[in-house]
Amino acid sequence: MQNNSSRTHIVIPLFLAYLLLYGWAHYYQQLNCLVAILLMSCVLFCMANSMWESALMRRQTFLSRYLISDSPFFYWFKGGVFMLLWQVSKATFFTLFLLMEVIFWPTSLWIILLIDIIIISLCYPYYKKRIKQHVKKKYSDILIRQYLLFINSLLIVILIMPLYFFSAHKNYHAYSLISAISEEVKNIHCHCNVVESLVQLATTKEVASWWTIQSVINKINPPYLIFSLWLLFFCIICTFVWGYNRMILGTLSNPFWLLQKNQ
Amino acid sequence: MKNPNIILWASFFAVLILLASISLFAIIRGSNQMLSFTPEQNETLEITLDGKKYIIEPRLMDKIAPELQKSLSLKRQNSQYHIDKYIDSSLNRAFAESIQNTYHFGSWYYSLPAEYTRLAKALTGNMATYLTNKMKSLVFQNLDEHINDSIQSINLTLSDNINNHSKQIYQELATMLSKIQQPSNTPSTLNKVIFNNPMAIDQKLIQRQIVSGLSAVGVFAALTSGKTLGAVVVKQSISKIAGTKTFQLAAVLLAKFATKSAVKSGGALGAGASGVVICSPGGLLAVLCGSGAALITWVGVDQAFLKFDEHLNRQAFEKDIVISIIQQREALKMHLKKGYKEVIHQQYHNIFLQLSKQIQFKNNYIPAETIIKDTSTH
Repeated sequence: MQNNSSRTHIVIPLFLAYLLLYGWAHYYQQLNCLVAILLMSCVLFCMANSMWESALMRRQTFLSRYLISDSPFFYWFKGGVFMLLWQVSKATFFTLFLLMEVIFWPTSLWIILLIDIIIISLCYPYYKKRIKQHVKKKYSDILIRQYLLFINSLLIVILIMPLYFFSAHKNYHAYSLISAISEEVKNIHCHCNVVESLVQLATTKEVASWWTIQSVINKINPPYLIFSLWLLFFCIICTFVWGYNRMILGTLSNPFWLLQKNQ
Repeated sequence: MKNPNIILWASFFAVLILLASISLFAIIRGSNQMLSFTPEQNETLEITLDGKKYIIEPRLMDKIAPELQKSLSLKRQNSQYHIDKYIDSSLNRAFAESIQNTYHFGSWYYSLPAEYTRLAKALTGNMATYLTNKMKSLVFQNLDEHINDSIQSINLTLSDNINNHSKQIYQELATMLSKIQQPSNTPSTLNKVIFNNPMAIDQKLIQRQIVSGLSAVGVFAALTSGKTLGAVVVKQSISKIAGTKTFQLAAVLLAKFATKSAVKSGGALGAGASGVVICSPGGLLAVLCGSGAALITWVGVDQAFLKFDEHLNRQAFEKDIVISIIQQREALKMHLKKGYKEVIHQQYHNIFLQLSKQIQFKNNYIPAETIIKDTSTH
């Protein structure tokens, strides 16, 4: 029963975060600026929550391991407002990056991520129970989320690489770079002009990267070189996976727990 | 109870991972097989283009499509560039006369007859309408004709350009086909493909398209009521100039009137008085002399003020008019370029559609094909 209730406590926030991104990806064009900013703020909050939690833990480890508790350095490096502001700034950048990436995700990727949420919800209580035997209670949840971030990101990247490799993308052979970009950008119309500008930027980046790789691949012969190039390309374009995991795991994070115990 | 739990979960996840791995392996292997599958092709294509027959292997047509698509795209960009430059030069020529005519308008404006005519119109008619009509006749007398002629010449140039490019595309296709064709004694089995001659584009079609495109733009909505583009542009130009600050100030009579009246009344009284004194022995002659002197003074002051006003303000007045004309010209260029861009896009899209009835243009790009097709040729 306890396991079931804890699974429910996990699956609901994860699913809500997923739904938030899904809603943004499919309805960003119709949203007015106020709603768009609200949505972005929710994503930013989750991302900042997760980043702040791991930053706080690392900072506390540093403080307890290396610094004398009475020294001014200990006081200055304790964290606080500056660290929070820095994490929020980083989170803002990654939030915008993630929100602009999700609009290009194919349906198959959304299905994979939904299945991934179910798997996380199933595995989380099990790992929590296992890790409690070895790790201090205060840090067990945080460590699980840290490991999940890495493992889940790797797993999703491994799954979506073949997906991208074998699925069809737009062919830019017949276009120059400028005409390819202008062809795609001219079809973008959003209710909010700020979102429209961001989406145009993201589209430019997407078109430029696919146009470049298609042009370069066209000029290369050896298959092993082509394969390596594609591997590198997909690793680069899959960096959003880290941001996605940060965001969804941020719904489970609670950095204030660390602050309270520290005081 | 711990051990059964461990075994239970371990077996659960093991089965899940095994199934996921098998599925993934099957997807990759299956996709690989589908992509590398090339059915045996004994059939050939017999393509008829411009009366000549070419025997082609169907798989080799895949090589033609990207080259043709690229060539079409380059020609479209070339047409766009060519027409943009032609619009610039054509409209510069069309508006040049109007820009030069601003000098004549300035000369008319700062003349005494014009001043009194404007006053008369203010008294008895409509001065604003008179001014705009005068501007139309002096500055914009031939502008609507020039613009309409420019549009016609642009349409002709564009239709010739696209027709030439269309012929070139088909010639390139013929060249490509002749490079990949099989020997003429190869038995042609199945498919016969006939390429129709490229459709010639008429300049009237382009005219309809550009008018339709421009009508959708707010400033050219009057085109829908049958007015020519030249007439619409002339009307907009006059409205624009009439709205300039210098023009508005120049047309205000009262400001000048107050200043002039003060001078005139003092001068005219003095002139009238001295006239009466000079001609005083004459009696009636004295009245006539006095009136004449007052009239001469009145006109003299007007002339002096006019010259003074001209010296101060004419340059700015003409400059404002010229700037407005140039702004109108540049705005028209922008709208025309946008309109013709859509026309060019539509025409080239039609050529593309005509070709794609027979040639498979692939719009999808599958990364795996770049490796698998290459390994199959080695």
